[in-house]
Amino acid sequence: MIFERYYSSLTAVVGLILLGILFVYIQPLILSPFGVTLSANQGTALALAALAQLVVVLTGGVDLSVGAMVGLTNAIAATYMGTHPGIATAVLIGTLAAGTLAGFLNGLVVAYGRLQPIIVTLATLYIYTGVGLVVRPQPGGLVPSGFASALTGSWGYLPYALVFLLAVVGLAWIPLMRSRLGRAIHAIGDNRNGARVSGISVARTELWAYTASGFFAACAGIFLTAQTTSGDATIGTSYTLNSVAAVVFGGAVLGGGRGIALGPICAAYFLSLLISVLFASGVSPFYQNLLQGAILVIVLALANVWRLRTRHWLNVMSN
Amino acid sequence: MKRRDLLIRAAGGMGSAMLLGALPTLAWADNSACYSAWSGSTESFSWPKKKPPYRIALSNSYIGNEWRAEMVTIAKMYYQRPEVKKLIKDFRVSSAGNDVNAQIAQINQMILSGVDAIVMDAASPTGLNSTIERAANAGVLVVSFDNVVTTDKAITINQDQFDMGKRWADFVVKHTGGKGHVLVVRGVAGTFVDQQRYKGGRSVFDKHSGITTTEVYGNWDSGTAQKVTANALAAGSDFDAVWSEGGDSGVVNAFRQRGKKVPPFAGEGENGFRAAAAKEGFPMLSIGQSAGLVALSMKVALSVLQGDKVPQSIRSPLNLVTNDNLQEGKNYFKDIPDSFYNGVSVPGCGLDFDAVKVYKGIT
Repeated sequence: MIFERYYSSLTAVVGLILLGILFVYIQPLILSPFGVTLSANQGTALALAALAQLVVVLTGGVDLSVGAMVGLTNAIAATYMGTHPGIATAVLIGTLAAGTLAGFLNGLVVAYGRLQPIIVTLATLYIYTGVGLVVRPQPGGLVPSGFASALTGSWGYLPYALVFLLAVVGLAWIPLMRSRLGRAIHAIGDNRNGARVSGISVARTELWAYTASGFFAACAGIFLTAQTTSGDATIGTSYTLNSVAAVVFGGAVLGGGRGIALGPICAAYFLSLLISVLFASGVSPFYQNLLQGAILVIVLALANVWRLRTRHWLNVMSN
Repeated sequence: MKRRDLLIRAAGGMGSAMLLGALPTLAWADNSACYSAWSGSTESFSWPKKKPPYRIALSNSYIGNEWRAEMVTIAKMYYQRPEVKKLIKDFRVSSAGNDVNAQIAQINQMILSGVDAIVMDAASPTGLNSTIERAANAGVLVVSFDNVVTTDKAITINQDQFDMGKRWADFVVKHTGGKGHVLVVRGVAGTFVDQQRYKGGRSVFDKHSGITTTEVYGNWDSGTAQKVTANALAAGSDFDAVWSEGGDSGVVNAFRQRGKKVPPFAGEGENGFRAAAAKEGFPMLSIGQSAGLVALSMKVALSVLQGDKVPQSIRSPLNLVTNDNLQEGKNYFKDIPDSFYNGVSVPGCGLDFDAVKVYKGIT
């Protein structure tokens, strides 16, 4: 029962564990508190961006503006935070609000403008990047050092980055998914018309799903601000497609309706660690991107071969 | 008899090795022709002396353009020089793409693997600062060049981008008489280099009310620059001069395709741009950001590890090419593609590289 629920995440979890073992074999120092913290810090922003992507993918859409929202919130946070703790806290709350607002606007256009999500979010990708560049035309900014170490430091082997991620999952993701809204999100992704005739407001559900996406993107932006101690409006670019990759690798279905947080989170760490492993094993830079893509395809293909060996094809269809 | 020969040879070898060992310190004693402190207030940078050979890593960000490919090739060529190779026991190159997070990961790996120095072209001027500070605390020297970082925990080496933009604009003003329509081809939005060059240009243009500008972003890439220039020309504009940060061969091609004469042109150091100027004779000023800055950075890293003091922020002189000193085989080449950036050497530093060899090293 429990296994079945987490079955879709299996590829990512097993992949992450195998990659971790390979990493330790190549670079044993990674098991030191320093190494563990570094590795945790590396994947956390992408893990949060993957949550932002997942909530939209669950509705059957895709959000191409995730990276832009990460960049925008990073620019806002680093530009206005300053060093005063009171102001910094206010700015953090403002940043979360800004990201949530950006997601809300996406949702408004998608749900009530009745446009394709991919086009809407492509347009807002440019808009949010543009706003980010207005806020912060060139990289820079200042953050309180206490804020940076509170998110990227560690207590022995326990990286605060993981604590932050678990807090976001525990305080926002799980309550959201267990709520009526969460069930409605799954429902409209699974069967839009069925959901509609069951009395679920598709438009309202989409609106709030995109809004939640903005919130999680803002969390990623805030973590990135702590990690880089600065702001850069263009820093988010890579998060858009990587978050989609993490979501798919993590077992969610792009058509919507199916997917849990565990898979995409593990997949995000997998993708982030893969870069380190490739570097640590001394692969030439020209082959690094190629291998990154090839490994992803091979892992996904292997997982599917295994899945297709099922006795009943109906099981495959429903997975 | 044979044994005596061997002994003599061994003694000779040891002697020459000792002599060679003494050479670098001699060669690096005077650097005033090669570089200078960025400004009068630049602090001196010193580092605990270590014994060679060292482990050096090159952390590159973007690899999608010709300049970066040249830069990586030059780094490898410089490493192969005998006087450099004996100081380095391990040299690694890695590229992260224009992704700050990937470069953070990469530098963290370099710290863990215990390198002595990291030479880097950063994906972001500020995003890597906390990682660099961590590297410095772990005893790793960081030298940053081209797209330099803002932290003073690293040595930064660059040409003056503001001055470059200003000189281009001065040239434009001179050739238009201070009035006319100027096509401004910028680089990648949001980068330090683009901002500095643009500010330098604006500082001149803003003084001349007769000058109007049309701005496009060419991303320092021939293809993109050609497309955006063609768009600007298709919109019906006529330009009296061009101020371009890069992708200049593409800009020239766009003018040609439109059947227009290329106006006075201030730009970067691409081969096709210089060759076109030589052939067609339009007034030009070409200032190339040298891909050889990577070799200068490696050189500075090695000398600092050996105990030398250098300025924390280092200025490498601009190299200017105008219609007067254009010369085939010297600053532009027949057998090399148009998109090649011809700035490969750092004059006055003993860092001269053969452009043809660099080009062959890439392919």
